[in-house]
Amino acid sequence: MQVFNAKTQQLEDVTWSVDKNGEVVCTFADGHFYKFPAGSSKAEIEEYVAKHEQQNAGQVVITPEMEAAQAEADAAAKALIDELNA
Amino acid sequence: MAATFDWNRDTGTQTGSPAKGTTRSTGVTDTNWKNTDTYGTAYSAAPITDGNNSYEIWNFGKFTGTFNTILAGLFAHTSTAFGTGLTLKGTPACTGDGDRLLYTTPSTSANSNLTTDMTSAISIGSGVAVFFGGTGPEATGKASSSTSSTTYTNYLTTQLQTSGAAAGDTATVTLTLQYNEN
Repeated sequence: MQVFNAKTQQLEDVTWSVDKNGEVVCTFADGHFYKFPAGSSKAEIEEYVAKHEQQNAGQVVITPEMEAAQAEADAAAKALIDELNA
Repeated sequence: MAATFDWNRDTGTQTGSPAKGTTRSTGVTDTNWKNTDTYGTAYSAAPITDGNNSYEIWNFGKFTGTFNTILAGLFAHTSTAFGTGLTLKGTPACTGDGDRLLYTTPSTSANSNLTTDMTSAISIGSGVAVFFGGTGPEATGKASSSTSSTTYTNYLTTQLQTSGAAAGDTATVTLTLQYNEN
């Protein structure tokens, strides 16, 4: 079963495992993961995965590169204002 | 004049119907995910061991002061990425009174009701919808706007989950509640 990765906004293959607390963990290739309650049945997992996709599709992710570019633009704008006010 | 905003938090065993926390804290100034439900405990005194989850944090917003309407609420993680091995889960979108997240006694178990993946910073415009009402975060009657002189959001709950996380503090991230007032 593929799972929707909110970080990449697409369905991806995952590796399923059970952690030390008995919680069901699905892990994407990039290391991102989701946990589901201990003791979940297959049907419940399928329901959680479906809700998860419905809830997270459409997020507009801000990457670290985008944050850095915005910070650079903000700094440039501030420098200009400081120059104009000098 | 303008609305006065205050972060509030419920903690403790669920009580009443609709359920709310036993303790309601006002003037909340931090959201540190930790291995305790107690608001006043320093996160350094209650660290999350890798592989475990934090207790859920049941924050909500409270509006008082002078305003006509509070509306157009959105909630999201909007700045700074978490490191690897960390997943932040959060409240689902509230687009109807029946969607509001119902309080349950905080625990470290993965909460399947927290269906929003808040790990990545996203544009606030793509955040989850927040509803408002005049009685409390737990109460029925939530709507997309409120004219009540004291207005509350629905619960804006989060839980930090770990798996393969490095030791030490997480990055300091920004969670934003955006709203309009008039």
